[in-house]
Amino acid sequence: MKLKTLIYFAFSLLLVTGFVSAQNINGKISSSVYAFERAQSIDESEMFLRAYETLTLNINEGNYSLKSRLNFETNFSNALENDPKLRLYNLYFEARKLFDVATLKLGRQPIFNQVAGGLFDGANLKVDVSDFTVSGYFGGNVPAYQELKLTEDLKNNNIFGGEISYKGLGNTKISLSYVDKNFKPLDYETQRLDVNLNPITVLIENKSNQFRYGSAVVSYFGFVEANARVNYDFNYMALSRAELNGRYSATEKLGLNLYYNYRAPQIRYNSIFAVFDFGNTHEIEAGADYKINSDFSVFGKFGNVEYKDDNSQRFTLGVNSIYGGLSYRQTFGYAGELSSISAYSARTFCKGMITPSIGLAYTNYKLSEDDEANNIISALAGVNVKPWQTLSFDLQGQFSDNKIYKNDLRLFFKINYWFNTNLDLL
Amino acid sequence: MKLKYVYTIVGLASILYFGFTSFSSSDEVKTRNQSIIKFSHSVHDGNAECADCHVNVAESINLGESLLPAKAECAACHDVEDEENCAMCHYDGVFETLEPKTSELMFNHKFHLADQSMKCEDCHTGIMEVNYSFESAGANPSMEKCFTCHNDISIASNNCEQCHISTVNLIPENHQQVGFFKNHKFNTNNCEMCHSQETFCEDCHVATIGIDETNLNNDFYTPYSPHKYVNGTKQQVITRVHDLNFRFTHGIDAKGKTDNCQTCHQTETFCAECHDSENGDFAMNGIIPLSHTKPNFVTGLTPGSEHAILAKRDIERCASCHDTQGADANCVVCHSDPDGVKGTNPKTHATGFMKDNEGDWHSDGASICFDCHSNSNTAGVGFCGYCHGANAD
Repeated sequence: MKLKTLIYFAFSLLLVTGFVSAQNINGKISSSVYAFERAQSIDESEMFLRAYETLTLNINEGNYSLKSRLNFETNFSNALENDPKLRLYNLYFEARKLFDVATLKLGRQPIFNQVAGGLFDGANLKVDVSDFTVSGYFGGNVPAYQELKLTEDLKNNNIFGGEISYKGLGNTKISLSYVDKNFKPLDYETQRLDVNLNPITVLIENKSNQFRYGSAVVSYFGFVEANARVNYDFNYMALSRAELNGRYSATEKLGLNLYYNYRAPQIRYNSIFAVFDFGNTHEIEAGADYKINSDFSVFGKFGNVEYKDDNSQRFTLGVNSIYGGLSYRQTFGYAGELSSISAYSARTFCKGMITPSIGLAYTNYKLSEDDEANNIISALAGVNVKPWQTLSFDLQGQFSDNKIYKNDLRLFFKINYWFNTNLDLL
Repeated sequence: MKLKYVYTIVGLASILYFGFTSFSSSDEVKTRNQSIIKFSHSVHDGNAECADCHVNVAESINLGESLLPAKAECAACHDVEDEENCAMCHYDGVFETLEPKTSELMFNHKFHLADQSMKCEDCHTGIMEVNYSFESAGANPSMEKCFTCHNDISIASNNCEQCHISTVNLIPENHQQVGFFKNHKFNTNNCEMCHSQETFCEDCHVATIGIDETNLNNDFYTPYSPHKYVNGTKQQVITRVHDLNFRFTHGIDAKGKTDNCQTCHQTETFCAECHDSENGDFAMNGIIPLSHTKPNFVTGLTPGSEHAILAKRDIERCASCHDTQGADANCVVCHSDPDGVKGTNPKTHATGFMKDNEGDWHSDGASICFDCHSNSNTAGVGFCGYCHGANAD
């Protein structure tokens, strides 16, 4: 039986049996519409009313769960060629505490660790033994738009990898991980020159061999919190990324943070860009935060990025509070020049029934030293109304004004509903 | 009125607003009863059950009502009529009613005690070892405790609105500390308590190391950002990952890497959302950045082109638009070497590139090398001649 058929069969079985014997069903439904005007050219623009429907549904029985998450989107006017779209982000079966040590997931699921992130269709097994945690996964790439179908070329479109971590060293945790993610680009024909410099048509067939990374992480949680990470690119046999991060709580209220990052560009192995002579970046950032009281804290940070033969700097100062936040940001150097101040506030009234919010921002920027400076004013105002615990409504207006969009106004409306039911059938 | 005056006024008003409100600390509320009555839980330990004094708790269905003992409950054991004993509990002349703490939570004691058969000490740990409840770190249950049941898989939903009146300020302290954005990947101990991995991580980390969509303008649309509208900690607030004006200034961040766009966006495809290509090959017809219009951006075969300098600084920026599926990258137009004579074409590689390396071009006809070099399969001819034969250095 083909893998695809087997998975479809397993899902069908799980859906049926899951609903019949489930002891707990919970989920959330969000419906929203977003109205805006899109300029197609200087003289021409169109109004759009885009709608989104998101559903999260979990069905649980003991140590077994069926989890799903999907999104439906379309346009009520000026539909796109491929509207409407149904994106299936998750649909997987999970079994916990197998033999008291293992967790198994089957289906479309997320995978997140130091070297991998995203969705895949396949299996994931995690085993906890003593201070060790070992996990391994294998599956196919998710098709475009998270369509409910499996890849037809698993050999060239797959992901596999694993992670082993050890936490038996007191305050120190160590983990090693590996990922091999393959994605086959489309074949295509193009004009090239042969050895005699005559133009010929050739079929470009890139093979599937995209990303192979290994990662080692060491974390220490003591009088300081320190983390170190190294990523190694097995395709290019080179260090891909190195990070150091440390936080020191100088006093109960004052915290200091230092961060360093070395990073090589993340370019596909069979991309033409991979063969060029390029530089890597070094980034360092230092910051501090101070807690004035339980309601207010201030923070500031400064960062420097070193490119090949150039650099850029940035700093941010701000206030966080239970009433909202206020921040000032400055960027300069190669990255462009920007000064921006923004404020946001939201408060709840009437025991959570009404939550108004407001945001304001002013930005002055230019993309490089020789360019002209531009100003932007933007604002948002909205309200959340929650008449019942399980149902709420959002309405927000967004305003922006700059040299490109004069008095641009957008409207957003959303309905949230969540539910949780214990059936107690068994 | 000039714009700068508007900003000055708004700025001053903000400072005043935040200044005034900063004086009302919630710490004062929880310790206030300490000045109203002399009391010790530890002294009562063993002499009374929780419900003997907190008589309203068993039937309480919300935290809006006072669950503190009234004089009548004290009178069950204390002779409140004897004026000689007043000073044992009351400060001189202070006979105020105890003030219940305000709460941002919705909680049904009756449901948890009666239906779920939970006991007071299951949640309120260590309270009988101190005088006033605020002196105990475990006086109120932690979210980790709630999560044992409110986890979306046992018997109760993990929806924030299940317990929290408002989610506006439902942000842990460490999330607001400097550096959290960059170190959150290292602190993965109990993220799932608030963030479901299925619905939260992937909102940003969407397969950034695996390109899985074609790259034409019809494939994308503004705003293709479903993650803005699904549940996270701030479900009631429309998520604003970037400032409202970010679409106009993102070029700076894209160049400066301050937000590391690739963490959240598939840069090879994401750019096409707005920088569309009029139904054509994005690599050839996309809207070009400002830098590309400069006179020395491409200077033919002479070295020192602006594009080469920019590419060396940050080649990911180039790849984000030009590395499209099913089409040649623009680079191939110039960076090709069909004649196989080394050094006569635009320099592409650093000195010593792939030196002494048994590269994939030996065994793989689909190697990226053959996008620019002709594969003659003959030593001394074309690309093979670089190393094997007459044209080898």
